[in-house]
Amino acid sequence: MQNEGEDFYDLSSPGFPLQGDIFPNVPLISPPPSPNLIILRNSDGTPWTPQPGPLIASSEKLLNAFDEGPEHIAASAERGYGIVLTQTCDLQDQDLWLAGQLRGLPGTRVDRGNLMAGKYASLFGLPAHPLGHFADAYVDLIRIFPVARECFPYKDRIASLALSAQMSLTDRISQALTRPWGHAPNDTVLVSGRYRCFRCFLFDGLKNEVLALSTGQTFPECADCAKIKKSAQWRLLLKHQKY
Amino acid sequence: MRAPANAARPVYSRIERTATPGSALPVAYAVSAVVPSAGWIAVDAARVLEDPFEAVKHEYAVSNRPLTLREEGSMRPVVGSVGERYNGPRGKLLTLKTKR
Repeated sequence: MQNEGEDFYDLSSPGFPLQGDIFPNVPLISPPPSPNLIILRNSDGTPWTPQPGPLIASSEKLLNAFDEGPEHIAASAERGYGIVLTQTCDLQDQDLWLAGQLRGLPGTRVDRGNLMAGKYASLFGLPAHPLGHFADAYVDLIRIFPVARECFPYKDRIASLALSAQMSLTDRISQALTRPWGHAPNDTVLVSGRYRCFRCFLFDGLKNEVLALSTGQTFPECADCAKIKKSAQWRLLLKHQKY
Repeated sequence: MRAPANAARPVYSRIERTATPGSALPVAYAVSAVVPSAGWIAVDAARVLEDPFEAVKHEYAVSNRPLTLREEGSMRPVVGSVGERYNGPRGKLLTLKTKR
């Protein structure tokens, strides 16, 4: 049986970096979920000067931070497999590359079949590498880390995507980050106006009615979309003008 | 003018003529679910927002936050075929079950 990864990855190792390249030991830094940061200071209380030695960690609430400029803070960081998400044509010019983290499937409720079929709006599935570099994995495309390009040494690259997989990745990034949205049925109308379901407006032979809805009403189902068991996406119609 | 049918252009109209409306495709639907990872600890908002030393713990790192699964047109409901409803020279079209 053929390994599906053999078609997914470019085993010829292209001679330049590409969107979709996978590297090990990529530093991934998480922003703290608190608006109050941990400020690092020298032992005399002055802003920390990066150097080996002891330092003091203080809550931002307890001192005047950022008055004199940027500060150094504490953050959680990890190293792991990272996939390059910056567009290939920008890689040469950008100091910071955008990276996603490869995560394994065990312990999650991610259905492998749906993942590899592209059924999750913001997840990109990576089948196991045919040379055994990693097992089946996914990348959550709404969790993107800026990483210095020097952290992706070309000699350490362990995988590149085949052209068809690169195209799948760009489609998935587009869907994850830029898909249009509309109000769902039963949402409350916040702005009075005329609305159209844009999920079905591209299709021929449908009514695609324009509804006049007032503040406080609820958005209905779209009759056309309901026929194919899709949920409506109601969008406020604007005056046609240059934007 | 109608395009000629050849091997590279399947004659879908032959299938459409004999298809039963509404029975050809698996049920498409959208589902959103928030799935916590194995080591995830729920954010105690009051404590985490107030205490930056609590907030910086690895439990709250991006990779440990709950995963949002927004799923559309799942393949899972399709559990098998209940038989053929078209069988022609270009293949078979099956009617698919959506429930076990």
